[in-house]
Amino acid sequence: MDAGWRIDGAGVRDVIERGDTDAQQLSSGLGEVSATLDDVVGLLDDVVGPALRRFDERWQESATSVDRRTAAVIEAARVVIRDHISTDEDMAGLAGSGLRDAETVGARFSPRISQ
Amino acid sequence: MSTATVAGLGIGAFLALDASAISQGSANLRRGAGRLRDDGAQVAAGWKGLEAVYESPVAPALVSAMEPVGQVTSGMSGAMQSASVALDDYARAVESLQARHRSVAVDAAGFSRAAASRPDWQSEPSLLARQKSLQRSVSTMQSDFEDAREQCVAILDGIVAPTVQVTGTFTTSGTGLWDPKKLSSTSSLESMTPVRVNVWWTSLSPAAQSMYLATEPRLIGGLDGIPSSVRDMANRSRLDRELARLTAERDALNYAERTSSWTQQSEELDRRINAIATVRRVLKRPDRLLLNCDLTGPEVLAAVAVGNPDYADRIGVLVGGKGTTVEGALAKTDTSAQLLRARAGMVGGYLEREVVVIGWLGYAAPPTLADAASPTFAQDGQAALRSFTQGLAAARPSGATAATVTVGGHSYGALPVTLATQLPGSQVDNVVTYGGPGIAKTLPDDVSRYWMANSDDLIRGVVRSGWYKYQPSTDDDWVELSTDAVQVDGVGLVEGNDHNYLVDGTSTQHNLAAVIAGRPDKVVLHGQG
Repeated sequence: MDAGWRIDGAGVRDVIERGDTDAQQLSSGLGEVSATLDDVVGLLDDVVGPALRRFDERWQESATSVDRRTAAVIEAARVVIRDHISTDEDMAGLAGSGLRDAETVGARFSPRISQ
Repeated sequence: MSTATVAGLGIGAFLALDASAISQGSANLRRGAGRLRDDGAQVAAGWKGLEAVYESPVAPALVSAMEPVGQVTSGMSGAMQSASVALDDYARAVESLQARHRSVAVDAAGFSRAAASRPDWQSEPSLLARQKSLQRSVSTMQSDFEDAREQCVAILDGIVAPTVQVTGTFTTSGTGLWDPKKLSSTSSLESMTPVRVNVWWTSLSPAAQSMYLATEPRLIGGLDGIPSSVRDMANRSRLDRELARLTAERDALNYAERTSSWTQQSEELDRRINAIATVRRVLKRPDRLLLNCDLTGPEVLAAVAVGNPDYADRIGVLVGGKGTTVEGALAKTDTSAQLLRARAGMVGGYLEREVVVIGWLGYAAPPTLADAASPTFAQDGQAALRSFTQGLAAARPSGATAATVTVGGHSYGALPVTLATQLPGSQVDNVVTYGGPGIAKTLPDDVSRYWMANSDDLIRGVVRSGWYKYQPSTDDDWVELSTDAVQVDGVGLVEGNDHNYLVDGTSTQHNLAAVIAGRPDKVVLHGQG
């Protein structure tokens, strides 16, 4: 399969914004579970409580990594898409026709991202 | 007059705990974990919508970058479910102890009243016996509470919380950096000795064990010390999913195969896919257990047992040499293991289930002859092989007598075998090297050691050229076995030839079988053939 270039600007923005909303919901769920863990630790004795606290620390590490990952991917997507669209605009300007938000197909040029 | 009391009653730490609140908290965690799994899956699935609206060379990486989020949240959800099972078990134990305590307190009150009515109660045997019994009940409650705590702590400390890589620059340096294979996970279990792993596993409730099997099959399948049938179940459960994942990953690469780096990646995936396919084919043979299947490193590693080692009296472990890979050599090694098992059973007069032979492809063997000049590969495999043989001993059912373990090293395999046995506590009884280029110098005194080299084996040239300093020697109690055609108990055995030692019906195969069977009287010594 050939590596073509195609972007549906509105569609991409929609996916990114929905992804952002989903990621925020996930982040909020992670926070809720962490708070519940805190509550449960408070119910336990001085042996099991610290063990659950240790688990909580590992859990926080996981939660943080997931949170950062989603944020990093969404941010990266915004940059890539912005770069792609602005390159399209440059090219469109040169060609004298507006391509922004229009679906464009082909392999006419590479966006400004190094491979 | 001394007071009629029951020492310790009323001061148990479990009395201060609110079991129903712990249960409720655990249920809340479980619900939260379920929502997380759904939310994580939603993030990953929604992100895939990008495929329909954006196409470029970086698009596949951008889309797949979110996949680990779904996988990791699913793993986190499983980890939280495991924690909630541990907490539920703990809450039930506390609840039961509190109920027992109430009953004992009622009995103790009755005892106090009865004793109060008898100023000389200490000379009344029935009251003394009653006090002693109550005292015993209190002590038992205390120790049961300690056990419940220990079990809960063991489970909580063993739970893996998976993490996902955060850093990376996939948007500027091409696709593939956000590789799900690079998901990292840490666990205190992986640093435990096989004995401790076994103690941990056997202390878990059946519900907790099931939870681990369902949520952490990679970890459980790879832990030395876990019962063999459990490892087999865990490892088998991953094969179809891994195959599907790797195949999808390879197919996604096809469009970009025009550059050499992509082609290399595609070949790498092909190798891994072939390795899993080979494992699946071998497992279709009867009576096989998949004791290890490690897809995390550059080489796929595996161990397949013919029979269940946990219940065997005699165990043989075969370790291959240069070029031994799962995709290229597992099937052949497994066939050799099966034939060797039958031969050892015949030589020793054992029932089939009493002898088990394992093909251990658990280290990255040197791929080429030139690589085989380096001991690095063997050194890398040393700890893994030792842990594996320790695990064989640790995984035996409680009360079972120890099995006799023989490790056979073919060609370069002689090096990891002797290096692993060199370490203290390897739980190896016999070592046999055949066609080896050299050995580790010092083995513990209690390990019997044998070696064979076919007269036309080209490895003799390697030995002569001095690649490796140490060779088997009678000075170090090495016993050289015959490779010639011989008759043993009226059975004609043919001569071993070339670099092959496990061909059925050869004297070399017979000799290894006799050592595995623990029949030194049946081995044919060099010069006796």
